[in-house]
Amino acid sequence: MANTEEPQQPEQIDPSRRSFLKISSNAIAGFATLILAIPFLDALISPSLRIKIGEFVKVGPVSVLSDGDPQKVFFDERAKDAYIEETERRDVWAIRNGSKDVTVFSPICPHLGCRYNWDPASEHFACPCHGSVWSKDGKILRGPTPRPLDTLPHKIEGDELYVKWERFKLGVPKKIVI
Amino acid sequence: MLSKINAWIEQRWPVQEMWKIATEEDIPGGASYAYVFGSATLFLFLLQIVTGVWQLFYYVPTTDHAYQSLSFLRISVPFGWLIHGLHYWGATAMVILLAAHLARVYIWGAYKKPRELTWLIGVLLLLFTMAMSFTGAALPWDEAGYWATEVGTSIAGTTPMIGSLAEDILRGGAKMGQLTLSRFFILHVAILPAILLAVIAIHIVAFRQNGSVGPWEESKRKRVGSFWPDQIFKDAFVFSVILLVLIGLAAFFAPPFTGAADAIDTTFQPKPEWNFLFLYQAIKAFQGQWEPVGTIGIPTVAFLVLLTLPFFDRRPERNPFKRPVAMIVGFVVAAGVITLTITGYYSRPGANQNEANPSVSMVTVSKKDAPDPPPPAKVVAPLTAAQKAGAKQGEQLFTSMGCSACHTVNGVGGHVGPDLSGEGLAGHPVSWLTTQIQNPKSHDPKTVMPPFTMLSSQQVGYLVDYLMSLRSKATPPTAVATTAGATSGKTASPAPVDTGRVIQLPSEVGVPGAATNMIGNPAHGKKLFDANCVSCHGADGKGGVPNPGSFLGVVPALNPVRSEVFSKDPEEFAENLDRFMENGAVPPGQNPEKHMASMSMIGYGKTQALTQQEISNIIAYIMQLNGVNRDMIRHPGIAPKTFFFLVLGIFAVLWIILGTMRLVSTQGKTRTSNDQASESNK
Repeated sequence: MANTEEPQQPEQIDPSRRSFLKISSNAIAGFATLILAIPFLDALISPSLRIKIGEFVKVGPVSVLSDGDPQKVFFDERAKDAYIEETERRDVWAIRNGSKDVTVFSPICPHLGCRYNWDPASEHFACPCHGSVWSKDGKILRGPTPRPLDTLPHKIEGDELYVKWERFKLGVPKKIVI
Repeated sequence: MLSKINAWIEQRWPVQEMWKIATEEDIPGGASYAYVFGSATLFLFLLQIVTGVWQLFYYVPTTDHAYQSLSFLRISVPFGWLIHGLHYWGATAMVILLAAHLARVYIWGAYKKPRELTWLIGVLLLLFTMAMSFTGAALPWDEAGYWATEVGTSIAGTTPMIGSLAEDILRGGAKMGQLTLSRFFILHVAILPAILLAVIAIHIVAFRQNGSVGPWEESKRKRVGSFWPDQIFKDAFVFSVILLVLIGLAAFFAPPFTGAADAIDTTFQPKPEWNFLFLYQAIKAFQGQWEPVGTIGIPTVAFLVLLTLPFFDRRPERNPFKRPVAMIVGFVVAAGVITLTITGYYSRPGANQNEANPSVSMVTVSKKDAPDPPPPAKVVAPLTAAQKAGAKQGEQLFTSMGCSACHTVNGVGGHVGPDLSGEGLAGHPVSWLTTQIQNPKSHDPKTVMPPFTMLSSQQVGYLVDYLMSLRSKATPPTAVATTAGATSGKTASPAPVDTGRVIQLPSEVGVPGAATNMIGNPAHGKKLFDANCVSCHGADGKGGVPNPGSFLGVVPALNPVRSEVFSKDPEEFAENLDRFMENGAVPPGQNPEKHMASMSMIGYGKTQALTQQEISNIIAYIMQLNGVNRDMIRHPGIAPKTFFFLVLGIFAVLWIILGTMRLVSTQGKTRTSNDQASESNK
């Protein structure tokens, strides 16, 4: 519409100044976006990285466990999932060796997080997902598992077994608490 | 009038021109059914958006409501089965058509200069579609989806360097939970669809920039067809066939109800979605420290190779017969993926792990007692050891846990296990009794007594106190001589029962739990039933296990279940069953004032002996035994199969009309001889 009017000022701006303006305003806008992105990314990532430290929970009398046979024992623990707090049922495998020595295995397959089972016939632990198999003392027999079964921290006070529920990084040879 | 409105709009928005841009496209060599895969994938994507949005009117993305809300949509919302079924099968079809589209482009050499960017963007679309498939599978928060997500995110976690961080961000924390579901939800319904829409737009613009590639033979390319109406006619025909097939799948092959997600479950055998099975199978070839090579390394390299294919295969030759290397490589890769998918589908790595639960073999033992007439009701002798604080609570537990099914105390109870009347004098120390309750196999590996691991150590203590208090070997007094205090230990039992009623009614035992509204998985329920229920209700719920002192004299059979509990309506039936599962029951006894059945049922829900998910699976199994499907569609709108045939009829009529129109129009118009040859209407 305005093409018949007098030549406009911007036409006379030096092209190099023009591209400088363009680049610098884009850079400033980009920088501002980056700064603004920080709180948004923080909101997304930080809650994921909180580490919950478990406590020792009383599981039950040690004498109840049969000598040398793995047994699944249950205990309840208050646990918080974000904003939902409820009593969660935990299960661990406990094996008593002799009178006071107990091994406690996490029920979670160290490979990719399935729940493995005890096969009393073959006396092996076996995972239904990818076929990993461990001996009674948790050593790898076969399958894709990167490490032996994970033991959980536990203590015995009097006759009572206490277990600390922990989870470990899956799929890696090293046992790392998460 | 209409033309005025048209003109008014045209002045402000170029409708005609946009239509021209969208439809006027030359297709070298003419329209072909070989070219439908890309637009069919787009059609499916739009269908996924519609069915997805419709599901959102009902679906709730929380761990405690996701499964139930989806079940409600599928069963109680008219045509919910159709909307969900289309989305479920549409996802599968979309991956298949995308693979077909990719194969077609590969064989035609359509990725070569100048169409490299179209290819590259298309490979990104494949990646985002797989991401949609992965995130979507988690949303029902059922067993299949939960465990596929657990394993899938764990695989992401094994990536060197960034794996842990990626896994934590994906899950919203170290373990699966509400934040995981929230994240997968927002990825699946907002972020990924938005990205897909944008990238599809870029893909189509890139495609139109250089146009359709057409046949590789120069001679065939001379003839030019057009997108509208030639190709659109073929496209539309294929779309409607796809839709028809999807409706058929939704009607005849409803997606399974795998049961609500249960994090401590060990009986479910997780497998990924079918389109990830080749990766699942490939993991097995790489063990130990080499595993990330299989799970992360090879897929990443394969993806990068696919992505950059046009940049190292730069020969302009498109004829597949003159590209033997490309064809052989393509064939080998496709065959490999298909083979891995099929072997992955049939592999059962943990199949030998089915008999993990030890307490299955109890029925036969109990049944020996069946011919015995129930002994006359007796009254428990007054407690001699009131000084033992827990003895009274122990007695309650003894009743509610059903101990007397097998053990006689003072003349009341079963004969499978030893008479415990004089247990306090038997010489077993406290520790021995504790062990016997919690792990009887440690004393006698052949014992049929189940381990009562669901009891807390405190409860076991009460029971032991009670047992230690049993010191009378004398035959107890007869039923007539009762005192008010004698049975006071049973006050915790559910409400008193009408005299003369044979079993408690569902409404009498208490309110149902969350399991009522979970659609269980009967196959899974059978395993749980065999582990927890057969010792009293008999194998397959056939009953016959004696319950001395109760009116029935036996534990009620569940197959068939009593008419007081049965209902043809699945929700009512499930609720009736769940009232018992949640609260337990005390069978009315022969002595009307005091229900003296020796066995009563514990509240599996209330005592947390079983999770609500497990209870829902058992309920589904019991209902199946009685010929009622827990997942029966209550409000289908139109019954699925009827609906399919209805649609089939409409489909046939419409295509007869359209086909005739097309025939007439092509004959009426003067067209090149080439075009007519290609127009064979179906």
